Amino acid sequence: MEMPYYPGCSLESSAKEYQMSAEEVCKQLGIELVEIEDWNCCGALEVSSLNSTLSLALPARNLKIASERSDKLVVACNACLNNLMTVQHKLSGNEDLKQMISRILNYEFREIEILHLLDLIWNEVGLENIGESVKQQLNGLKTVSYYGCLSVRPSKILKSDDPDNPTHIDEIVSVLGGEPLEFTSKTKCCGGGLLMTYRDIALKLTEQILTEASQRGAQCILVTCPLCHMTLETLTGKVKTGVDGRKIPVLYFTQLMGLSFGIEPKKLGLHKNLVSPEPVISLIV
Amino acid sequence: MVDGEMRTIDFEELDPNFKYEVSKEIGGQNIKLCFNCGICTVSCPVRRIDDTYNPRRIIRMVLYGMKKEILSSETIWKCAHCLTCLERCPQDVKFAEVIEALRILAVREAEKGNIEIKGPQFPFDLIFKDSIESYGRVFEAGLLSKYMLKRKALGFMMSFSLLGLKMFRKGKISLFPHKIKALDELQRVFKDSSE
Repeated sequence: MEMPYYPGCSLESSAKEYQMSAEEVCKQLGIELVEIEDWNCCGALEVSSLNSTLSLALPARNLKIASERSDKLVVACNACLNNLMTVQHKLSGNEDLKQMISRILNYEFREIEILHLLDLIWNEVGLENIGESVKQQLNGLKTVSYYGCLSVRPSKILKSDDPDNPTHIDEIVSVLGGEPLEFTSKTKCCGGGLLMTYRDIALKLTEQILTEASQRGAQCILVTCPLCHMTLETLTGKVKTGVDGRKIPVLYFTQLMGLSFGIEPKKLGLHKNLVSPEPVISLIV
Repeated sequence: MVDGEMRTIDFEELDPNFKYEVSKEIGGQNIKLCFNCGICTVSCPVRRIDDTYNPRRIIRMVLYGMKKEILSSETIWKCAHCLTCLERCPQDVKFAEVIEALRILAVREAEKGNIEIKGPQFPFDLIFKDSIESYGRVFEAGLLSKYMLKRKALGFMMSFSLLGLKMFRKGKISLFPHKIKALDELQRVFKDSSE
């Protein structure tokens, strides 16, 4: 099954391991992720502070490209997902905005289904089919699932399973033979948006998340967003997590799925993670 | 009080039209619905760490018309965009979007020379936007090196250079930008969106 796909800029460079593992895992599940043609940056969190029209037009250009080919678009990055869904919501609910953007982009707006890669895997592949691809059980690996902000809020638009306690990653981990732990920081902010500008604030926010993960005995933190991944990984070394001072590997959920599918760690980009994922790999492989 | 300093409100300096100005901006429409419950503030993660950042206070300042004070404050640039306030507000004020409207108004006032924008977020956002305008996608290596030169803080440059080196060794930094094919078309969108 071919699936129109918007990776987002990070997956071309700082989050290459997410791109690699997403492609590998989807291939295993019978899905080919096909990038929509000549997509552009969605504006991330930066453009909306400078130009509100542009912050609608940039995501809308991608919606236009996607809607010309398909009724569906799969997105890997939480921030991109949030921008694309929010803009679609704004345009469909406001005739003036819709006309303005249609004029700028020469675009006849129509709604399409936009979903996160995680939702594609959980919803359309399903836990049963995931289970059939498992070659190596995770041997009770203790994980915490960290969703961050932008794939769950606002819940009126994002439609995740639960804005406070989403469970889809946990359910996947259980199927893979791991042990998902309770984690109250699941949808708390890591401060990623301030990583480059107010690092002291980001550091304290990340510290709270890493500390809870450590106190609960997590062997691995699972994420769905390149900005969260970057923030947790770069700040891990600067945080005293209290329990035993070890650095907890931060993996994209697709990297862990790939390991349990028996895919070679190198193909999943695990050598690119900044915090060594060796403790996780050695437990499984 | 903004950016941590307490002072008396000077009624002469208030601009009663400011709330209308904000509510005309995309994202600012619902500001007048605020009934001051403060859930934005108690649920704000930035607020818990930096008590100069106070969403409820920012809304009150807008409603009172403290235009110059709020637009020239660094505080409006500290939102982490976690959207918890937007999720929980019983009046649908959408504070995270109000902040964006305030930033846009601040940029406009700064362009007129009426205020000066403080803090590192605005220059970062500008460099980020330029990167998209130049290539269609963000060129991380270019973005970060330009931003480091702008910050000029040695400690900051050192720690980011080390991180950059580590990422380069891991093959996570592209040295050349990816230019999209329809760059002309995209640059026209930039131009049309700025009119």
